[in-house]
Amino acid sequence: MSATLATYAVDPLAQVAPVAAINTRRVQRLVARITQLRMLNHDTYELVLATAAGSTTLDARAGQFATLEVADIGQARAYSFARDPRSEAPGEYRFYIRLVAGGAFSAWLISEARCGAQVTLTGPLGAFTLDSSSAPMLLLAGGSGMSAVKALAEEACRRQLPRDCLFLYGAQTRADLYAEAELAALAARWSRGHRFEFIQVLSNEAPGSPWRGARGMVTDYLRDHFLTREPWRPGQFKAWLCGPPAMVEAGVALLRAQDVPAGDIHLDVFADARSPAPLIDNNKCTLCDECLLVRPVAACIVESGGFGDKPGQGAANSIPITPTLTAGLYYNKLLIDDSRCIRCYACLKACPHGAISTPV
Amino acid sequence: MTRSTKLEVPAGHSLHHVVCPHDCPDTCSMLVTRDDASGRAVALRGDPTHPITRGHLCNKVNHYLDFVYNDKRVLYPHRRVGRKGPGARFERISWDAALDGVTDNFKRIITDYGSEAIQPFNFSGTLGHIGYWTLDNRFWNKLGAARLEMSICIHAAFWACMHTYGSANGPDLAMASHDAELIILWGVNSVSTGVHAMPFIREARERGCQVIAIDPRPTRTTGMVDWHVQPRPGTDAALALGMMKVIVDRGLHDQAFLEQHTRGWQELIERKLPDYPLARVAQITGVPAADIERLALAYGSTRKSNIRAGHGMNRHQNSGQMCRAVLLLPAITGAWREACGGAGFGRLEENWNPFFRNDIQRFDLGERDNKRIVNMVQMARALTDNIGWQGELLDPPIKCLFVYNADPANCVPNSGAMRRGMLREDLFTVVHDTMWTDSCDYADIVLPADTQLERTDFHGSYGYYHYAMNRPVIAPLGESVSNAELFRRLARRMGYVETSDNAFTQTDEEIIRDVFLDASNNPLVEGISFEQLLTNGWALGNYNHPARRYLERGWPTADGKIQIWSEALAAAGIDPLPSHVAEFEGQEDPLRARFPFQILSTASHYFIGDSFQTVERLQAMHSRPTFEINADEARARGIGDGDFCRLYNDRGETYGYALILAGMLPGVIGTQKQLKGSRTPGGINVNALNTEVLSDFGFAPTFYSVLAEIEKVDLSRLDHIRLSAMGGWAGYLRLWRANNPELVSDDQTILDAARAAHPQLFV
Repeated sequence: MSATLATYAVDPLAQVAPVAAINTRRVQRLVARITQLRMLNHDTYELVLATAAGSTTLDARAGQFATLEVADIGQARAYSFARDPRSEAPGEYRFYIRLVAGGAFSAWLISEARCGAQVTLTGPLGAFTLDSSSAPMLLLAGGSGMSAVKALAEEACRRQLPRDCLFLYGAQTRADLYAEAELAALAARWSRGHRFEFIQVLSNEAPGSPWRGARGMVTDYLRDHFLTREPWRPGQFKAWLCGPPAMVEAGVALLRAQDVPAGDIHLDVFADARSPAPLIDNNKCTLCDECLLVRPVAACIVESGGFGDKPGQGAANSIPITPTLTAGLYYNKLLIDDSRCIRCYACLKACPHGAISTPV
Repeated sequence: MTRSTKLEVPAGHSLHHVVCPHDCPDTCSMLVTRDDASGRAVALRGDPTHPITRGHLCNKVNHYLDFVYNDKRVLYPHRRVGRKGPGARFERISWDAALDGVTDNFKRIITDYGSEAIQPFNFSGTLGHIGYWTLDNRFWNKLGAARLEMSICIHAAFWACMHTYGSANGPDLAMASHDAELIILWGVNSVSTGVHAMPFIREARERGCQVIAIDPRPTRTTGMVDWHVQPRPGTDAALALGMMKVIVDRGLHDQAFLEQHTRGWQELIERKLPDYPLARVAQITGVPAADIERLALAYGSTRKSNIRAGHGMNRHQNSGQMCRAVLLLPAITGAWREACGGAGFGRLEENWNPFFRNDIQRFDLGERDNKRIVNMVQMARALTDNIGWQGELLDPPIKCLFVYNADPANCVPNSGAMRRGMLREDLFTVVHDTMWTDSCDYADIVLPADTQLERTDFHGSYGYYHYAMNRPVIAPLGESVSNAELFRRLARRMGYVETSDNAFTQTDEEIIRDVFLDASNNPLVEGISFEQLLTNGWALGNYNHPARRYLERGWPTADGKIQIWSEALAAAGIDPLPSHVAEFEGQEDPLRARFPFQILSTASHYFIGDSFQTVERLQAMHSRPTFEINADEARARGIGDGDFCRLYNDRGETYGYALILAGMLPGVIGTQKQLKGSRTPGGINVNALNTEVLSDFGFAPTFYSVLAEIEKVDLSRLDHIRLSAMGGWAGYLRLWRANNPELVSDDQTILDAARAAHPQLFV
């Protein structure tokens, strides 16, 4: 009898430790399966994921991104939505994955047949979205930066925004080009009375090739053919840049040199594990939890009870917060685990207290 | 429903404006996403367009949906079965049965004892003006209930402001931060108690503004400023007067301002300041003379100075004088000449006084002005010994305690006595609450209250100048009702509706549109329309209204001047000039020989009063009560970091864990206020140690004027202490049966199981 009581009864002296879990987050986590993997060119794949019928949908805007996690790889990877999420079929999500030397996710993707494999999708993340003005849009992309920027154009088209749009895509050779049919379709459906122009600029196409289009660096092309003309005057248009860091940096330098206000330039820089992880300054952190609500992976930001005796303020030296033994209430500290951080910088944007920064 | 168009939401969802109703100066606007098919709120965030919220929330309200959807919520009316106290058991009843139970007892008590024997007890569970004090007061005015002095929070500071300026409205810190050259956070831990100030303070610092924190404790806020000045608790008046003396001696005061705008400046300079030379002030405050001088010179060197004072200074026995001394600093330097200049505890008066009017409260429904008034911070002695605030016998005794928006078993000082009073068998107690609070254990009837997602209300802010309207987003959970709806139902049961014209038939929307937004008594709402609030959720008050230009039009005092000399205080036998008076149970009390520590029980980072203590994440992060103490005094008592400890004095004891903290002053222990007693090891929080002594003026509580000793307790005693707190094995059996309503077992079998599980308790 007492064994039964001990098993089933709630003992008034038992102490059940409360759980520190966060239940309402600003990002959603969905389980999806790979339904399609299709080559777009020699090194870029289109990956289509679908959630089970009836599951909730990710509340994303064009230009935002999600992280993809698979069981075989510990590290989550960030990819922009390759279409305006609201133009997708419900429960379907599309990403452009470029094969990268040493890239764990892309290698996993093509190493064997992956259709049906389970992927955890976390998002939406990022603030690379359309503004609310009706100023002309300058879109500048390279590599798989096509995805986010094309999605922005799709949203503008779906909403029939009364804006002109110039989309410059930089690549090395003709072999790098893709998504041309989709962009042609966009141009056909663009808001009446407004222009949509898509120009591919090749920097390394053989001189004798049949390519009749633009050549050179895409940023030079922008400078020489557009920035001297209406309506591409500083303060009159908004710009969105997404692609390899060198291209984005050159683009920003060019626009800033032309006195385009910094607030008119939106960036989505590719980042990977080689980029520095953000740092949290606990002398500025108010423990408001805003950053924890946008964590794309479970433990990229660690809540700790301070630091241990070992040198350094890394995750390995942090004192865990146990539910019955915090090291001191609001003397707790937050830190970013370098090995888990996916460099999405969502925390940096979420922090209202200026406590998170990228190392200089 | 207020639908926002500020952000796109996914198909099948809608976005709604909600106002944070909790007791905080920020009064944030939030955007809540609802899944329209299920009717469930699924996400929330700070409103990015709100000038103070600016798109972010605090660590409490970020988990607000865990508060709304919480298994500790009271969802239905309940009636107690069996005895009162911890482990009390309840059974669900219908609303009809509950209302009959309440009103039958009202009628019985009115017949046998008179309406004064019915005592409401309420405070700031919601700060919405409807839920805080509209329909409830109409009902109590009609019934003729005893009045309640609602003084538990900021009364001392409020009356210090009123006696000095005739108003109690400091400059808005967010606006001031753009222009100020010096910001002083005086006794305020904004990181934990109003975090939206912090980005403004950081932006001001980045622009070159100096930020100084004055606080006896190190806090997360004091770590984010340029300079932390650490006076001994209860000595802020001496510090402020010492600063004034330096400023006047150096000729940094604004003589023209004093002459034109103040009364009593000569008396202050000639009769008071000579008592505060640096050496004496240093000795009283513990702040080195050079630091006091540096602080005074920093303050005296600019008029663009803003003092944001906090609630801590207002919880001492000598609070009134301390608050007055600090409030007068900008009158000495003429800082009031600058829009960003001045000093204040927020907008205390403007957020409440304009709403203390007949068309809101309906004083005309009865003659409640003649009824006795009981101070809520002396409710313990009122219930246990029938003693009123002036020492008078309460005759008839309190026969009904009607609790809403509050958790008196935990929030009042001398809480051990309060709980004994609430145990009185002849006391009929009703609790209307969102959660099963500790006070429910003492109730005869428990009624379900809603949350902010389920009701309509109107909000001002006691920190900033904006107003906001809340509209329901989801249907009320279970059978819960708002405060307003509860009192409408009670009024119908009592037969008051027909004899009270529209007092109980006016809708919440009508009250907001026709009464709260009527600018005739409140120039700040001039120009704000109901439709604007419906569309945007919030609106900025008309803070630049001519009636508020005190510099041009004079202050709202008898002679239009700032009262450095207060006639009202002189008439009450209190020093009419600001003055340092050593407090009862403070640093200079000889009782320190026996009880060497002054206990500062401040707001936890994780809770807002009682609210949010049922949110599991916040419980986990708060974890346990701590006693912050410096290393030397801990070592002298054999206490190590994290040790289990007992904090005690002659009135009571509470248990927690030592937190050895560099920077704690000697003779001071910091701990957290108003923790849920049932979640502390000894069953009762630090208020068990506190007195019911009132502040020098303002009828306010003196939570920080308490002396105690601390000792280490072997952790092996923990379960003995917890068992004792639940009333020994008899209490254990009661709680066991409350926890396991489906199981049937005899006492011996339960105790045998307990012996097997806790052998150490049977040694």
